[in-house]
Amino acid sequence: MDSYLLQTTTTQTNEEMIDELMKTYGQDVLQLVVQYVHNVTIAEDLTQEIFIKCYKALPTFQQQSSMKTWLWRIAINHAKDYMKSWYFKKVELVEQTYLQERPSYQTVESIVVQRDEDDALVHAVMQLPIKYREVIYLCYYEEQTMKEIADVLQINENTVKTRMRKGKQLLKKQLEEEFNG
Amino acid sequence: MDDRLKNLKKAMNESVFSKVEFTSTHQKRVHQQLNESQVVQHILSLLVDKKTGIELAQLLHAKGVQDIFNNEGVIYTILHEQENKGHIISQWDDAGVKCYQLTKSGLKWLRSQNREKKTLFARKQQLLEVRLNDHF
Repeated sequence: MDSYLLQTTTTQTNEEMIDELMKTYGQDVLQLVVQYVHNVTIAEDLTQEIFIKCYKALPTFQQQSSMKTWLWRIAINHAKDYMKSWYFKKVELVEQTYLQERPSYQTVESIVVQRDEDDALVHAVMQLPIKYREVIYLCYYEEQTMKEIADVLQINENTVKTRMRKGKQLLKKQLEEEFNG
Repeated sequence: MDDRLKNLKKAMNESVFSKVEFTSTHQKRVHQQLNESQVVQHILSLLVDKKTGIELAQLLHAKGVQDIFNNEGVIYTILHEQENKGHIISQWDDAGVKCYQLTKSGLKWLRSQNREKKTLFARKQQLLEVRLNDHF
C-alpha cells in the first residue's frame, strides 16, 4: 500500500490532511462499508463518521503503519461496531438497497448470461458470513496481498488463508446449488 | 472458483457499487460536522461552572473560536441540542437570566471526546477563569 501520501503531507494541517484522505480514499472507504452493511445510505453516514473519527484520532496516529492501513482499520472497526449495535440488530430494514436495480440496456443474449453469472457471484459473495466475505473482498476487489489483508484485519496471515479457502468453498457450494436449483 | 472471482471487481462495480459514490457533498458535510463538534466541545468545556449565554459568548470570543464570529446564534442552537441530549441543564436565576451548566453525562461525553486532553482542559479552564475574573 502506498505510504507516499503521508510523507508528502506532513506539513499540512489536520483538516487539510482529512481533505486529502477523503479525496484519495473516500470512494474506496464508502465501498468497503457498503460491503459490510449492505445499505448505501447507512454506509454514507458511517463513512462520514469514519472520517470524523479519523480527524480526531490523527494526533494519535503513530507512523508504524501506512496511513491507508490505519484508515482501513478505523473504517472496518466502525462498520463492525455498527453491526454489533442495538439499532442494527433490532431495527429491520425494509429495503436492502444493494442489487436492487439491474440496468436494462443489455439485449444481446450472451451479455445477459454473463451478467446473470456475475450477479449470482456478487450476490453469493455478499451473502457470505462477514469473516469470509471481508477477506474475499479485500483480496479480489481491492487486490490486496495476503500480508496486507492480515495487517488491515489484524489477524494472522495463515488465518487469512484459511478463511479464504473456506470462503471459496462456501461460494462454490452456494453457486452450484443455485445453478442446479 | 478463482477464475470467476477475478470477475468480482467488474461485477461489483456494475451492480452493487453502480450507485455508490463519495461526492463533494459528503466531504462538505464532514467539514461541517468537524467544525461543529469542536465548538460543542469548547462550549461544554466552559460550562463546568454555571454560566449565562452572554458570558459564554464572551468567553468563546476570548478563546478565539472562529466559528462563532458573526454567528453567535449558533451557540444557542448548540446549547439547546446539548440540553436535549442531557449534556447540560439550564435554569432561570433570580435576575431572570438563563444559566447553563454541565451535567455528569455531559462531562463523561466530553472526557470521551478528548481523552488525551483531559488534564489540559481543566488547567486551561482555570486559567481562563482567572483572566475573566480580572476583567469583569
